[in-house]
Amino acid sequence: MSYRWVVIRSIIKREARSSFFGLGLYIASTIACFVSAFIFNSYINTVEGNNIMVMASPLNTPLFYAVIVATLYTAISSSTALSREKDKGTLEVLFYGPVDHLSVILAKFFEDIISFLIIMFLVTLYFVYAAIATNLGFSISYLYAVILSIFIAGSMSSFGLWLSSLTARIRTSVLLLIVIMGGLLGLQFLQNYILTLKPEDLSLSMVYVMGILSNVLRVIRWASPFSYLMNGINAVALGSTSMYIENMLGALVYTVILLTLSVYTLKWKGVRKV
Amino acid sequence: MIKTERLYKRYDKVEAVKDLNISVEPGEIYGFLGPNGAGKTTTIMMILGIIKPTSGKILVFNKDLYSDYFGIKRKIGVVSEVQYLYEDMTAYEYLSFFCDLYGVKNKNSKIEELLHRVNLFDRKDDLLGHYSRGMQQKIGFVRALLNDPELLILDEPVSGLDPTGIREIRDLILEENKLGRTVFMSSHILSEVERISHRVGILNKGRLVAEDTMDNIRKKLTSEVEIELEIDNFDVEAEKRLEALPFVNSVTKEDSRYLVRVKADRDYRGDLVNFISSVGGSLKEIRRKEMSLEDAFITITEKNISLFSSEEVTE
Repeated sequence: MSYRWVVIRSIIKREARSSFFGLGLYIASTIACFVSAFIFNSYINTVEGNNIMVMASPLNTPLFYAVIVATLYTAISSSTALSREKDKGTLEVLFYGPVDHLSVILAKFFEDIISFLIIMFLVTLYFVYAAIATNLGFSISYLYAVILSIFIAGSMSSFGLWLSSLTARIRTSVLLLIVIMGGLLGLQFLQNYILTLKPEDLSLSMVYVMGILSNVLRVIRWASPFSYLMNGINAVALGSTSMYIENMLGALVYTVILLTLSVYTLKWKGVRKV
Repeated sequence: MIKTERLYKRYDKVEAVKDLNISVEPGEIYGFLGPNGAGKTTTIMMILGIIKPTSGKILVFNKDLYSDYFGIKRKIGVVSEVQYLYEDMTAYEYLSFFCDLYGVKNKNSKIEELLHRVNLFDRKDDLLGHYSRGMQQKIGFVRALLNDPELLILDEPVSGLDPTGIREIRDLILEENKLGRTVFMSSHILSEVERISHRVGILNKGRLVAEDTMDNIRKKLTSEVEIELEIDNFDVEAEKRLEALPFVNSVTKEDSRYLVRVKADRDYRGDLVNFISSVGGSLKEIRRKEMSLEDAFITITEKNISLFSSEEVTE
């Protein structure tokens, strides 16, 4: 085994231990299960009220919300992963030894994926229980959705790590993540709002704004990890194999690019406590 | 072991390190000195590859760090002024993690042996967050020694420690050096450096202004040496003859004690003993007053002297 992999494995072990004994993982799993339970409950109410509910893959919607919670946890956790260690000075100490930028980034990334898989495992346990209790059956699309969610978690983690490599304080990383998420959602809402307007009501300046927004959103389609999340949900819901594969490959390429960017950003910004 | 050639580090308009050429030989303890902000930590960070030099060359084990990054780093142990430990881990877990990072075999026995050496074995299951500053510093040393490093890089290793802690760390450094480890140590506790270093390098305003053994630095800095004598049966005539000796610059008397300032080109104590005996004086005590490292350091840094050029450094 190469020296770098020995280092990556050691850091993953330490990080996983820290996550395992921390609260974050369990809070995220609990929230994901609660959100899903809320949707299951609404299904039961529908069946009670109408005596019938027609749905191709009833577990998908609650699963999507669980995935949203789990990937948001991944984004928050990864966005503080490096800045927390810089803030505490522990990252600098790692670099006294045989640790380089790539090994740190890869170790943090893989640990994020492991944490995500633990959450998805706990969520799946809950779904098995809920499926048995409600008699809602599993379909193959559940498996597809879970597989795709790993790639989406990868893009979320790489995005968070890049933000984290830019900053040296936990607070700054979290703020940056909130601002970016808020900005992306804001743009999405703005576009949705404009789309609700009748074409004859649109002023010339509104048409101009719409044009700019459309181009910005086209870029965001590839640059935002949240797009991969939303497109992935759509791909599974529509049962579109081409969209599914496109989204999976897109998320993979995005992850590789963002991880590479994180390595260079960390080299540029440094690993020392400021 | 460590060699830097024309090393520079610039931050915007500030030159933190200028034209630094140092050479640390295998097996020696090299004291790296300088006032606060002289560029010592920046130099150490550049040696470790944590800060990128603006220009210049650094060789560790005669190799560029990046030609064998992991191989070289596995042969180095580093202790900094502040340890920045994972406070949620116990000492044992922390050291076990670093053993894994360095690929240490027989890690349990290694950790136990080193914890026994620093008297922390009984506290191995305590959280590091509960350790005192001195204990954390010792854990930093243990961490640095886990991989049996050939080179120990210590950045202010005894800063903030009480006298007992300083002595323990000093003994540890000396023991490790006896085992053949090269030590590169920066410190502002000059008495410690003077006591254990074979050679010192003095950095001032980013520039290396002296690099030599303490004896040679003293010789370069002083044109005369003070020798204290306590003599009985030494009359006025003998005093006059003493003053007239060719290597004596001046003599000051207080009761039976004489302070003789002699030239610094060689050790004149033997000549003085012979002279006193020849004039019938009875020598009760002779003591050469050495220039301390602190005196040398203050002379060099306050006057901004370079011992390489024997002139004041112009900015």
